[in-house]
Amino acid sequence: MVDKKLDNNRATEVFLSLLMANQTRIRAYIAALVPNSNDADDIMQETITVMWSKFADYEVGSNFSAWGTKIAYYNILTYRRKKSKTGLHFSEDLFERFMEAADRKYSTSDERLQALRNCVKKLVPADRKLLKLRYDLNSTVKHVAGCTGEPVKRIYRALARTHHKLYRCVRRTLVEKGVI
Amino acid sequence: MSDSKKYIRLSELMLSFCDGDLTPVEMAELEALIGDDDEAIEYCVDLLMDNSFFCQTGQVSVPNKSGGDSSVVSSKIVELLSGADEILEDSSFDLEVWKMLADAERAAEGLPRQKCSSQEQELIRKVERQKGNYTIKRSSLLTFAASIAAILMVVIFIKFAPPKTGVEVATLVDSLNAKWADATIPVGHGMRLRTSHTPMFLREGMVEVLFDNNAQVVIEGPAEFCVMGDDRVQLSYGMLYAEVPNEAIGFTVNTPTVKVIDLGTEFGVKAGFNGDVELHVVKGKTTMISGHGGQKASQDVIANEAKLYSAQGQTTSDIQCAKQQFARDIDSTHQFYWRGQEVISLADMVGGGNGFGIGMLNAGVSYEGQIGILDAYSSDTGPTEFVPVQGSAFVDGVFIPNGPTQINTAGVFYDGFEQTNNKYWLGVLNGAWHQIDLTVKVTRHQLRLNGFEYGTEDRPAIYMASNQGVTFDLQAIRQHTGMRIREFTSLCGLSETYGDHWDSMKKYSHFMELPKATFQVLVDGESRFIKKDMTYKDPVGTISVELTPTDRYLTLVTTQGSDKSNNGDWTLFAEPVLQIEQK
Repeated sequence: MVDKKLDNNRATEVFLSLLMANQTRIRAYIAALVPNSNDADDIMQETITVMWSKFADYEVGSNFSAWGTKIAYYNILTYRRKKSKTGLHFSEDLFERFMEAADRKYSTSDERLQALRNCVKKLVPADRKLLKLRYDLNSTVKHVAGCTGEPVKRIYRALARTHHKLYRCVRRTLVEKGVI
Repeated sequence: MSDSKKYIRLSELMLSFCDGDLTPVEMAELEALIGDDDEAIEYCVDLLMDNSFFCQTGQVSVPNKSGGDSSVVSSKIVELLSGADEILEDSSFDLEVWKMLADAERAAEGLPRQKCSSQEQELIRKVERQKGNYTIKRSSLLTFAASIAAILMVVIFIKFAPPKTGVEVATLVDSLNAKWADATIPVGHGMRLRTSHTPMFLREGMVEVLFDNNAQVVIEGPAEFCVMGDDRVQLSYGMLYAEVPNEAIGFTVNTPTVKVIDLGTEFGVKAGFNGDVELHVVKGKTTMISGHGGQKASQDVIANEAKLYSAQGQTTSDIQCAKQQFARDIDSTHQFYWRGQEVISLADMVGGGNGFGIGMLNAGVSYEGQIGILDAYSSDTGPTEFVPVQGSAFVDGVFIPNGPTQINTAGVFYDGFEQTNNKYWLGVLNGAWHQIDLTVKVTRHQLRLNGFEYGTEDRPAIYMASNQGVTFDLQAIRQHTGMRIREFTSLCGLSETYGDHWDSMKKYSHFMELPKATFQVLVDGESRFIKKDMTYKDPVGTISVELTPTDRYLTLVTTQGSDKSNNGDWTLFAEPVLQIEQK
């Protein structure tokens, strides 16, 4: 348990420190189960709020991201229940299969991220520019399509091909490093 | 389908899902593509995680321990695209990106679509994003900031490097609904701009930049630009209008494929993301240099000319000069921008607009002083007082002319009106339709002058069946637009359609075969135009009233003629506009 004698400031420091170190893994886990980016952001924020409120229950030294993803999982179930009548979402069967894969993969998110960073550098400039347009400038695909006059589908297709190149590169890297 | 093609299609669908763009049919296709393939699941999860790394901003909100507002801790967890800035500066990559897209599309084989079963189709739900409402509880972070600063410094990554130190050469003097790609960088009025190679990304809206040499540019987003020098702007894409005084001749706009050098002029440049560039010269003369290396071509482009440079074909062609395509002037105080329009439509103002086309057709002013849709066509006895209009800064008010009558909110009376029956039809309308559904039946139709139907977007009109008057506040219009008002022009007449319907009306004694009505225009209570006893068979009247900067109120009036009746007075002002020019 978190030492109840810790004053609030110290607890905050510890929490933030753990959060910064594990945020990527928790976020990756949520993203794998909630594809809609905006919804994933909301769930991430809600998860952090719950984690903070229950931080007194957290066992210092135990797996922070495992604890966080467990809280995230329940938030995701609540989200799916709320969205069941109004949103596009995976079937129960598919969701369970995604969940199993996310459980296995989120813990290697940091290694994956590092590999991704190196693989991005290996992309041809045109691919990097496309990614920069989409992600670095916070432009939606529709916005990019509007700027370029290209159909939305073509932008998605181009992004998909770029992501596929990254996937192969990252996979190769992780295999070579023995991560997977 | 090969694995590669399947995974690319999966990527495409998943990315669309992430952005909320996936359709129900595509969702069914996605599920069908995954099927029983566990490797496809692995692939999708990896893709979603990668996408989250790119999207992640690292902003988290940690509750305030004292129960107050939460603190937002901002850190860029990852910079995956560092080093891409230099790519954006290299203009040749613009073409490569789109060639890549085009070539990839041409070379790629079609990705077969999975057919969805009807059962799968039934599982589809419509996407609707619901925002959660998260209340932040708990205690404060009042004193933690200093202690965690060291931790945060490790992970803070600044997405946009601070602009390279350069020379201050311009000022951002105004902006209208401007949204920047990086909302964390403060960009405000009065901000001095330095020469820099770091681009500024304007996602939407407009900004006005005044260079120290008095050259003025208005940039309209989406746009990417940077100030390269005291007389140079780099426009990677977007729209830019430049007004260059004599002392700033030589002012240059660079795009990735074209350079425009001003020779004392006003011009607009539209740079497409694919490298295509349009140059429209409104005044004066420019030199346009296109192409690269040994393939450069130079030509002069003068007022009222426009050129299109096609990056793909590396050719330049003539196009129509679109003088009103570019925002030339903005005024955030009045939420107004000017694209070079030369007229202000009073009909648009009667419909609740600002004179530039945002008013409602078939809306108008009632004698409750409100602007709204008018559709209750009937004869009413009007008020005896002047009725100020609510909700419009430009329409001062309406009244029923009947002997001496107050005609504006300044309390000015005009005593030149004949005595009338104090009755009116419908109200003062932005439009021109007529209908009677009483004992007399006249089907609804558009009114007509000189063979043309009016009361449309192309042919606006103010329909004010006598006896009615409407006053406009010219001072308010000047303040809003910053323009000088030269003149009021309009056509006037009784609708020819009266003759079309005469057969159904002639059996009613209160309708005359040739109803008469009078048109009048007043400026500050002084009559500047009058045409008495017009009939629908008379030629259309042409109104031209010069206006000076001190003229305050413009009043348009229709009154019954010497027949002492307003029945059948289907009187309209057609294309009533104020001719304007820059001060």
